[in-house]
Order: sequence, then structure tokens, then C-alpha cells
Amino acid sequence: MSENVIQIKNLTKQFKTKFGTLTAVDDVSFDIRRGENFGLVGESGSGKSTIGSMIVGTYGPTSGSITFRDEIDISRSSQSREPSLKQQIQLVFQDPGGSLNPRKTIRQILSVPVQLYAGKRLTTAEVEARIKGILEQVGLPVHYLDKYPRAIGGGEKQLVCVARALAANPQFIVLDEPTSALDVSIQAKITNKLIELQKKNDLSYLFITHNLCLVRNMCDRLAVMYLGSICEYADTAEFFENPRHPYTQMLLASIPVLSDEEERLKPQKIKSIGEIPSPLNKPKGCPFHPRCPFKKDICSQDTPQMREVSPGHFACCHCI
Amino acid sequence: MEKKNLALNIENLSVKYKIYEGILEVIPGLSMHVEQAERVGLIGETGCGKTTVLKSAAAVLQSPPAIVHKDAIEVCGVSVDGKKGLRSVRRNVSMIFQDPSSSLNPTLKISTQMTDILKSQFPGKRKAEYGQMMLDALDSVSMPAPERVLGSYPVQLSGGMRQRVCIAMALMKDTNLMLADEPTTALDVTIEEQILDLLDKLVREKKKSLILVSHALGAIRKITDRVYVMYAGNVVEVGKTKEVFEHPHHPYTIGLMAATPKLTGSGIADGIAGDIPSYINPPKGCRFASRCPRCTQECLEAPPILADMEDGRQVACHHAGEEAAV
Repeated sequence: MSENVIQIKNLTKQFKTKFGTLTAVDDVSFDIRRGENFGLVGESGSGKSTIGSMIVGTYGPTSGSITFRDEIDISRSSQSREPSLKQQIQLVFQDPGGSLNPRKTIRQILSVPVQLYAGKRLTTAEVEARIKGILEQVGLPVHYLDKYPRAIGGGEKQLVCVARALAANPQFIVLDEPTSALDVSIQAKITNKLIELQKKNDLSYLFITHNLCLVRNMCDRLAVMYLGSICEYADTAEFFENPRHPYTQMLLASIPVLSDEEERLKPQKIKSIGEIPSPLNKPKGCPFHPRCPFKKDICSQDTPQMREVSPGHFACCHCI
Repeated sequence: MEKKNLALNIENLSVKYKIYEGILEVIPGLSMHVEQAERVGLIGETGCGKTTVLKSAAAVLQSPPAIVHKDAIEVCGVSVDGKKGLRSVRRNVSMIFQDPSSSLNPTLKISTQMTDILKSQFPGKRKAEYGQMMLDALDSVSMPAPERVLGSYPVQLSGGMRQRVCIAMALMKDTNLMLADEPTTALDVTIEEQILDLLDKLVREKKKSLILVSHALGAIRKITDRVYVMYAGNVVEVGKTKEVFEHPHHPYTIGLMAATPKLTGSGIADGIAGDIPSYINPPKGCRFASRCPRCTQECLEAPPILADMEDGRQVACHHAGEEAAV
């Protein structure tokens, strides 16, 4: 049995645009263990969704490699992947309204992956039985099968999206901001459902989000991205107790929280300044140096390397 | 309480929308007030009527489709009805919207859009004077390179910079009351913090009144003195922000606070089951009853009234004060 579900090595993705080459992901390496919920955090434009897209095969990387279950190289787009491979890696999008076909009923939406990945021809009754089983797993009533997406609420639509991903019977799901479009009371329901499904079905997740509080409560390990690079990478508990990179400290310090107890957990010394530069025009050296309060001369010259600051805790900074 | 000193006073506002499917009874009867130099928060989830309240206060609610009944809406002591009222609103109210990219005209330079406001507020000045006023306004929102910004189109600016421009424009008018409709929802956290700090500082310095509407509870806690919690068109809880966040009384507020993921890593509560009731034929009793853990027969029959509690809080619940039951 393999230990890593996904192993990413020196992954780089560049897009050619009218204004020059945009490096969306720059030399990123990490791995996701089996049965793990791995959080990928970053602000908009940091390249987190690009990594998710490369794992599911929307497009291939410019350089570097992605390995699935320690043996299968998946660093190419999904057109050249085996159907059995596509089945094992599924995706849930951010906007549940936009990712469900408004002209199809929930039954039609769910029956596609069931039939596609069954491996043999299924009778209508078999398909129906499987769809009902999946719907029950995500906690939606069976009479929803004949409804159209517009007739159900935002949280329920997202559950249908999760059901559609589960219908393929995958091992690994990329969750791309699955709850950012939803209200908090509904977000709580969906995240708890996702955790429950993970345990029941022995799934591994890549959880892409910008909400650090959510990661704190959901994920086993996490990586923080800034302008295409990972700046810190650790176990969740260790990360929140002892953030090392100035950017992650700034990020933690700027979360608006609900109680004094949480206020005390935030690193206090860092104030947020400046803006995220355009990825078309990345600063030389450390990408964070123009906003960093601790910058030295070396920061604008050399790109820092990822170093292990304590066991299992990696950070990418000259000053640590 | 002396009414004349209120920056905003809304009494018994009811708003219905007439649509194809029927009549949406969005706000059944809502009262709120904002004192001079007070910062008030308005919390609620999608579709609870926050923006409708804000639009009524600024007299920009389109009618039809909206059908508005009210006892009074007064800005700085003047009713918002009629031409005189509208003039008073224009003089006293400025607004910041959620999406800075769609509230700026994409075809005009920032300088043109800002000059338009200045010309209407301070007519008959020379071009150079307007230019200096614009630079001062951008300076006050800590805009980097204000000269360059003035010559740019909105697309050439980042989201945070666009929101700074919107705040600068709202501040150029010397108004008493500032309405901010989810000003940081479209922004990243590090930028959100900067904008909230800026808003906080400016409102304090210029002694303005502020209504901050948001579903981000943390943002409300950070910069407001008093908070209104809304659910399905009703105000369910009112109180000092710190106290409401520490000890929420209404079951909806309690559920909302519990469902928000915390930095302490204490896990996520199960959220609030169910959905907001339909506004066409809303329930006759409490609108939260179908999702409420305390619901009894009484709740299904009569809507609760916002009542004072011993600690100065106002709560609209038949079972207010029964915290142990939850």
C-alpha cells in the first residue's frame, strides 16, 4: 500500500499572456499522504487553484512532476490519462451554481459519472440504486433526484457537487474553495459532511481555501502559498502554534476573529502593509520582500530555499 | 433619547417586493437608529434584508418593485421623503459598496469620476483646486502614488486600490453618515485588515456615524460599538458589540457564532439545520422557529417582539433568557 497519494516535485506552470510570461506556480514541492486532508492556503492569485487544476489534469505543468500513489506519473493533461486514473481523482468547484447544468435534473447529473466509471454496462435499476446510495451518503432526501439545480439551496447544490465527485468512487478529491460561496451556518454543515465522508470512504483531500480558520479545524497538514511559491509547510497544530515565515505571521495577524481568546493566539508584532504584486511582475529574490518588515539586503538578491526549521515544519525565508 | 441627535432613525419600516410569483414580505416591521459618531454593525446571512434596509436609509430603493411602508425614516432629523428629503440625504449620506470594480465607471478615468463629485459638492472652483482636493482625499486613504492613480482607469488598479478610491470618494463629501455595504468581502484578508483599519481611523477622526453591513462577523467585531443581528427580515438581537459576541442570547446568534470556525481549533459546530423560510407566505409565528432548538407551540403562533433584557440587550425571542436550554 502506498503512503503518498500525491507527490509534487519542482512543479512549475507558466502561462503565455499578451503582457509576457506569467509564472503562476514556481518550483513547488509537497506531498499528500494517504487518508490525509491537506490544506492549501493563499490569497487570490497565489497559484493554489492552478496546482489543483494540474492535479486533476485540466492542463499539464510546464516543468516538474506530479506522481499519483508513488508510481503513476500524472504530469500531463487529462486527455492523455487512462479512464481508470481519471476516476480516482475528482474535483469539487467553488461555485455550486455554476458547476451544475441548469437544464438537467439531479438524477441526470449524477447518473453520468456512475455509468461512465462503472466499467461495465449497468441496467437502469442498478444506476438508480447507486445514485440513491450516494445521495443518502451526502445526506440529501431521495425526492431531490427529480429537482433541477435552481430549485434547491446553495448548500444543497454543493452537496450535489460532492455527490457527483463521489459517484466516480475516487480515492482523492480536490476541493477548490468548496464553501467560500456559502453562508457560515451552511459552511459548517458541508465541512462536517466532508470530514465524515472522508473517514467513511478512506478518501484523501486537497483542500484549497483562503480561510485559515477553516483549515485550523479541518486539515491535518497545510501549505501557505504566496505569489506562486510555498512559503511555509507544516502540521496544522504546529503551524498555528509556531508560525515562522513573516508572511504567514502577517496572514494570521490579520484574521478578524470573534473572541479575546482567539485574539491572544494571533502573532501580534506584524502589521499588514503593501499589496500583493502582479504575478506578471514578480519581485526579484524572495517574492515577499517588498512587504516584509524584516527584510535584509540578501532578500532582494537571492531566492530563499525551503528549509526544515523543526521536524516536519518547512519554511522558505532567509531570516529564520 | 433625544431624537434630533440621531444620525439615522428608522421606525417601523416594512418592505415588500412584488414579483411574478407573488408578494415577497421581506421586512415585516423594523426599527433601528444610529447616534451621532456611533459605529453600528448589521450582521446577517445572504437574503436576510441587510441591503434592503441600507437602501431604504439612503432613499435609493427602487419602488416599484419595492412597496415601502414606514412610520419614519429620518437622516439627521429630516425625513427622507420628497425633494427636500432627497436633498438632505444627498448632503448627509455617503455609501461604499461591496464590489469596488462595479461601482466605478470602467470607461472614465479616476480623476474624472472624482471631479464629478467635487463639482456637485463644491461648485465654482478652479481645476487646480479640484486637483489638490483629490490628491488630499487619496492621501487620507494612504493610497500609494496618488498622481498615477488619478490618471488611471479602474481596470488598471488592484481590488484594494479600487476600494480605497471608493472610500476616498465617499469621504470627499462632508457627510454625517457613512453606509458601508460589505466593503471588504471582495478583498483578501491582509488587504481587508488594512481597509478596516483605515475605515476605523477615518470614522473616529472625522466623528462620522457608520453603518457597517457584513456577514463577516470578525470585521463587525473589530470596528463597531453596537450591533444589530438580522434574520429573515427581522432584527433578532441588538446590543453592544463586545457583549453580543461574548454572550449571544438569541438562538440564531448563538448558532451563527458557533458555526464560525475558530482559530482555537475547537472543531466546527454543526451549523444551523434548514434554510431561511420563503418570503412568499412567511410563517405566521417566529420566522426562525423551523430551525430553532427552543421552538415551542407559542413560537409557531405569534411573532416575538424585540424586548429589553436586564443587561440592556434587546432580543426578539419568546424564550429569551433561557440560555441553559440550548
